[in-house]
Amino acid sequence: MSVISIKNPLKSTVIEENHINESDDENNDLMLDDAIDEVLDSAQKRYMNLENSSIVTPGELITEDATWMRGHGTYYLDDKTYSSVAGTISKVNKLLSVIPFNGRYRPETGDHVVGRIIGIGNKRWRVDLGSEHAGILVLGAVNLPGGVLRRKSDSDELQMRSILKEGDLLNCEVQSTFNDGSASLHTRSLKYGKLRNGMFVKVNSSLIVRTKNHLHELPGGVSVIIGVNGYCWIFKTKNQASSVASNKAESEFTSASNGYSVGMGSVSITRLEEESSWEIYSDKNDKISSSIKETISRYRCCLLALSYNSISINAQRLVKAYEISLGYGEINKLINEDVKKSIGEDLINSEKMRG
Amino acid sequence: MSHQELLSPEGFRYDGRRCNEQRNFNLELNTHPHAADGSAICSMGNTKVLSLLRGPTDSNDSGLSLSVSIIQPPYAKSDRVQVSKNDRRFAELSLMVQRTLLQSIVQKAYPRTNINIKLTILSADGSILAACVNSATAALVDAGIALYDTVTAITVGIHDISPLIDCNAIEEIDLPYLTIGTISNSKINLLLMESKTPLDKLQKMINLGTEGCIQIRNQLDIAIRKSAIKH
Amino acid sequence: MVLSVAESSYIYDSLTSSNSSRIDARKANQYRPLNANCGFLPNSNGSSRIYNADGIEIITSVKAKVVRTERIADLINVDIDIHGEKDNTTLCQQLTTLIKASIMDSFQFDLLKLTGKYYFQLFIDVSILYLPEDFSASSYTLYSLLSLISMNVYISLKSTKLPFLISSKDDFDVEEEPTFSDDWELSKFLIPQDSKNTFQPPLIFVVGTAGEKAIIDPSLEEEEILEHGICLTWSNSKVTTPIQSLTLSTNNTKALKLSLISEAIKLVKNVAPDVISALDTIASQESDDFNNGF
Repeated sequence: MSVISIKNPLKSTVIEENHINESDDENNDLMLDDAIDEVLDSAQKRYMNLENSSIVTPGELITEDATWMRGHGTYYLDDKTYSSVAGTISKVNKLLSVIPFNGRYRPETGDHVVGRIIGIGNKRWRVDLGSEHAGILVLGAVNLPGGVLRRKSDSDELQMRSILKEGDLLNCEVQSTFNDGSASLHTRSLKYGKLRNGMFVKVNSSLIVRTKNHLHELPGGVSVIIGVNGYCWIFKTKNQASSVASNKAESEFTSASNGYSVGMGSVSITRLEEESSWEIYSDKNDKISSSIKETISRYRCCLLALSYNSISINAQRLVKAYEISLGYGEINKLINEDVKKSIGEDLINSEKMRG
Repeated sequence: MSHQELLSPEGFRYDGRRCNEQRNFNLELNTHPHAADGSAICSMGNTKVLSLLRGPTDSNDSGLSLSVSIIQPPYAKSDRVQVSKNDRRFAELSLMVQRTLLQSIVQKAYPRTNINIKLTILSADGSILAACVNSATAALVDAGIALYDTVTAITVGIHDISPLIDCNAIEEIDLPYLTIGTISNSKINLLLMESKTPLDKLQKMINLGTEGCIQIRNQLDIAIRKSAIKH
Repeated sequence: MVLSVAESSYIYDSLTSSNSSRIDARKANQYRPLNANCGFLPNSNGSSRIYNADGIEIITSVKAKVVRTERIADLINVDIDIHGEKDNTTLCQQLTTLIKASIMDSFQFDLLKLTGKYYFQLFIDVSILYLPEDFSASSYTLYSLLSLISMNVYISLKSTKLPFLISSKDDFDVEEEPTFSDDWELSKFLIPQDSKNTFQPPLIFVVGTAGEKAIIDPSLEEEEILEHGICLTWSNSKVTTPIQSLTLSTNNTKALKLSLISEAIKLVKNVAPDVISALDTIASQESDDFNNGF
């Protein structure tokens, strides 16, 4: 096993010769529409299994029918609807929109996303979601330590950094979106909150399909959050009973060391609730065995392999890819591009077999 | 270079092309998927421009701010020339590219955002502005940014009475030439001419130029569709 | 990239634990896959391009010019440009100094000697096309770029071709400028490819350390948590100067343990032959079509 692999991108791929050298004739006719159409046709035939007509490029006329409602990726001029991006046409009832091939994540209400805090100020956190605008998480939209019924106080505002600080990763839901496409987030549920005990992976957001559930328990004692924005978190599956116990001492330590801490003076329903809330914002990882760590790394490689092959990502596929990857021997081979590619091919083949 | 050699009596140019023949045109999208939101390389003959687009990202301005920077590394020409980063000429060119592209972006879809395009001239052999515009347009399309239409550009020079399309560096030195950029329906939204030309020949040059732009637009279309298959 | 406390302690703990593992499952001496090719710039004597999975891409061009000089130090010029950064930032200058020092230290200058009076002067221009988005706000310093730059310079020097001289080599007595053959087919490599014992360009390796561990080719996440970096030069099959300690991250720096230096040297000795042979393979695959050179 060599320590390095350097690939020449030119020698390994077949370069498609498709230059158009217009060989013009006497009458100075530069417009060789026919020739262009021919090349275009053959290019389409060769490369596209999709319906040709459904792919549009910016400025292309989609329809002259004025009855369609115009959605994202389109614009309207003289009763005609044009495409404004390169993508595929999507028609839902009377709504006509173009879904771009490429582009940043666009938040939608209800999306389960993973984000990273990039700023704090004015009772809110700014959260990087990989979208055009940073998401906003207002202080009121998080579970404050000390129970659900507790009122917010000024001291909470001063201690926002002890709850979430720059660099912290969190798991949240898009509560609403604004006109400019930015998102307001919330973590008001026990399944959301700060992330630890694991590893962050970023994949292309266009590969992720919105589903009911984005938190999956995988075989091997590992769970994954596949954020709709392409940010994923692979972590050791929480063992509910033991984690509360092991963190009890720790949370007491945290509150003691802070001197005064948020929630100390407030009334909570039960003490247990208070403790578990502090645990949510802990920075400390649980003890993770090296075999779990290896499993996490392997899942990470599999996620990246799916992304490398542009295969849309869901939990079933990830598990399947994991099983396939076990056949490729030692884990350090999985970063190889050839291995990634063949994992993708194997996955597609196995899905074809099942139909 | 004598005037004669640039266009032979038989109608061949210095590099063997006809008057209305483009150089080898090659456009590739999504060349740097890891480094940028949108990327493209446009080569017109030996001129090769790489564009990396980052954005749209948050900005404090109310509308869309598009920033374009052009860099020519010292090795771009056959003699090594060091170009300073605040070179006037390139600052001007990047402003022209910026204004040309800004018109075609659906600006209302991008309030409070910033789009940053970095153009690197890897190799320079004439038609730099045109190659920059083509490359940047392709990067915008690749990044999935909403455009009213794509802008494509080309240069046209004039030799006595015959207009020459897609000038190389040698022709640009000796002949008057213009850079023209159009959107569909041959609407001109970029026209740059920095040398003296008889007025009566201008129309001829523009006609040839707009046809050339349509050609490039078709090739851009093919490049976009090709890159779509990769996804 | 700013990591959360939990993330960085996860990475650090995995790396320094007795059962050491890297987050991307690599071994301590394993590189991430790279892509490289050469000879694609039509206006340069040698050129190469290299990029890694982080998206960092570097292009190097080598241009040769005929000069009449006695000063050896002028014959090699290195210029590094980072796209989007100002000229002459500290990072830029330090990278330039180290790369230039590594080349000057071991260069065999008679390769550049053209005739009695004339020399080839080499201009090595490096463009770094892309830096991570959050570079200015993060703690890593990107000195690890050194390793990638030197690999790139290696490939371009190995693929550099010079025109064939047709005038006389011995021109002490005659006033004659060197003339070259027009035929590019006759051009020869600056560094002859066939013979094994000629000079080879130097390579700089960057080794990161944390706890008792030394790792090669740290990824950006790893750089955040590394305590120290060491750069070592490898030339003509041995470790040479410049050897220098680098701060790879401003987060977590601690004093460098002596034992780690020998550990790093061991690591470099272990990987260098493989890296060299991989780079040589790339350098020998010439691009024949400039248009598809990218």
